[in-house]
Amino acid sequence: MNHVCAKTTAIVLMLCVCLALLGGCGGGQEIESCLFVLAMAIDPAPDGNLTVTVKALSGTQEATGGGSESASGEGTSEDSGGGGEQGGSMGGISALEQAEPGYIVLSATASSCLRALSLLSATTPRNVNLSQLREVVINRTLAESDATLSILKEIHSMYNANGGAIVVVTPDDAGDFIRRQRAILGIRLSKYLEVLFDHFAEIDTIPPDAQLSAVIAAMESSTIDATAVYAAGNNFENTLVLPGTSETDRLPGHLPRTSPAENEYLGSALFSGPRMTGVLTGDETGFLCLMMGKAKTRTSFINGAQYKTNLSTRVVRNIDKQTGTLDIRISMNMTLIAGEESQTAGHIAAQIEEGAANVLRKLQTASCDAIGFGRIAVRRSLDIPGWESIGWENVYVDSPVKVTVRVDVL
Amino acid sequence: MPNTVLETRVRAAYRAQACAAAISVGAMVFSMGAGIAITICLNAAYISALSVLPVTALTALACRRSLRRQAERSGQQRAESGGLSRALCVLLALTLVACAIFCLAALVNLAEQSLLRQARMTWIAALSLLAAGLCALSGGTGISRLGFMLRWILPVGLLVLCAQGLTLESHAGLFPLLGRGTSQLGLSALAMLGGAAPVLMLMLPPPALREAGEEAQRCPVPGPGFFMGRVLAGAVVGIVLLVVLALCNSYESLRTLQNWGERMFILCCNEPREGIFQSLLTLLQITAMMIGAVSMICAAEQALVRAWPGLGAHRMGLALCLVLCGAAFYALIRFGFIIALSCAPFLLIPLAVCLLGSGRM
Repeated sequence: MNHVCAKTTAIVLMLCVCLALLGGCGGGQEIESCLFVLAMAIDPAPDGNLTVTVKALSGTQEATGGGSESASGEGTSEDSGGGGEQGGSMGGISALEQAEPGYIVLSATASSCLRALSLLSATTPRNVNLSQLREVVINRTLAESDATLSILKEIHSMYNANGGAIVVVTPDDAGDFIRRQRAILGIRLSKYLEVLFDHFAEIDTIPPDAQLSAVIAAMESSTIDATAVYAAGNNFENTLVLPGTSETDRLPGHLPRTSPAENEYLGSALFSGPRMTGVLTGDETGFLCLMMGKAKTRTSFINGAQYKTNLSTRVVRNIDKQTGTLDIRISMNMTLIAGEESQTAGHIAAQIEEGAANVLRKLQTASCDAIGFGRIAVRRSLDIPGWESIGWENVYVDSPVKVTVRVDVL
Repeated sequence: MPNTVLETRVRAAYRAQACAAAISVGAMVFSMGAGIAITICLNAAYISALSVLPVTALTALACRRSLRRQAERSGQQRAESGGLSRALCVLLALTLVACAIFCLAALVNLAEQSLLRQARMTWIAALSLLAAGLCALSGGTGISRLGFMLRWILPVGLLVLCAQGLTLESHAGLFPLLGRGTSQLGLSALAMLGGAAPVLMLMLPPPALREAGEEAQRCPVPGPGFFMGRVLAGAVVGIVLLVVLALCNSYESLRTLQNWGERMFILCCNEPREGIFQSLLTLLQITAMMIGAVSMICAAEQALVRAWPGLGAHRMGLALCLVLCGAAFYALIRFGFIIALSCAPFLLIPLAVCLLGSGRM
């Protein structure tokens, strides 16, 4: 009886210990104990350093003015005179900025992205939490270097950043890009950014696989290359209406429009490996999405007529075994829903063929296999050494291209 | 007249034990594949893991033959020698404890990389060992029945959740088909042969038979296909999970993953923010590893008690197994889990010795 009691007591005690340890509350974090970063910007700084700017939730609804101007004079790494981190304690962190009610902007300069984030953590009384990150903005100069992949991997793996955050490249100062970003529609910046990227993806003016995890995987892969969203700020001083076939056949930053949102997201940044090598306009990005088989838009305007695609567009990608031609075949079914049909299906198909072929040649010039022909070519190699000896990057650039489009207008 | 009720219950006991063995083999194959095979041949790890299948089948057949011989012996002979020699029982126990340690080590690494990123490895290891000890307290019957209850839920749940992370382009991860090359593939296949070691637990009759009495121990053992089919199914599920790993990651990404736990982490869902599905998938993986480890600890205890019946008092056999596991964990945490990964392929040696030893009975 005593033995049974002792055994029962031992089991109950062990269960209680397990309950306490398995309760899962030990790792709980108060919302106010973390610095939830929504947008992150990375710019090159002098002496090979990086400036990381983050826009985070402040947890308050009051907008406080910052002594930003006086502090920023001390806060730049140029003043610290070598060693961005050494200057950090003096002013490697620029002034605390309260950009708008509910959000705060902070920045730090250090020799690497990781160290800059550590500096932010060390000098802000909160843990930097990237689980709610919505966008990562990289300055174009930095994107054109080899540092992009290591920066993105540091953010993703070391700080457990949200893998669905969108990677954006901008020719502007990336820190200023996120500073002027505001939720002009709705209340929450996080939701505003989510809906923003979803909307532009729906109309195929930004590339489909620009999420952080997808960009990192593509940069590491030898069979496909990465694309990121291309964006810029419009200062509304150069609202020049440029000639062209379409309003979205241009790059962001000079669109003839006015809006409280200064930032414009239009087009793609092309990468070859970890390095940015080119850009596509908004329309060209639409052709890219079409050739990747990921076009989402169902409505097209062609010569004053509106067409709708009812069935899924079939896209077949292939590499001709004899000639090595990069071959894309697209089949589309369209219905005229408004306007007068001024072109035959053949004419429409020829236009799409020409546009897609031009985009494909542009990708080749940028040495960017965003469509993924490498994934077809790799099947012909049995093992990794065999595949890597082919030198796909050079083969891809020199291969002839062929785009065939069949359009049925119902 | 044959006692059909007793035979049905005996068959149910064998079935539960076979299910537990199947889950153990699946967990072992996946853990070894992610820990060893991927580092050798990258995305072709699933191909090298196919070498486990014939060894698993052979081991199941040999165990079934051993069980049949034990059942045919008289009660007196069984009481004197236990049907297996003492040396064989000790080797069997040590092999199963080693497999249990490997499964628990995999569990700890996966938990540390996925669910408990902020926790210390020592805490996770202590907790896992404590949980395993608690589960083993009820004996091999309890864990076998749990394995039987989850025999469909675990594999179906794992495969359905894994499928959520796949896209139409995921097949690109399988290429190049042979990974680093045929020589690396062969080396990896050799290293994976030890993954069949958990099947050795079938060499011991279910503990429920001893409790049921002499008549139950003399009941006929189910046919070869009864055991072989189940353990092969478990091994196949482990191999399918390795295929999923290849589909989710390109070979370049696999090459950069240095941590064992990272390699076992299967990304679920195309939308990473859907944390519930990811957590469920990881929990199912951890559950399978825990069931495998506990089953092997219980079987090791049974083997030790057969070797030295005195260890049956106050569950000293179980305590000894847990102490061994604890000591091994301390060494692994102190010196690195690379030791477990380096030693796992050598499980083939005691596996072969046990099979040969049981054949000479």
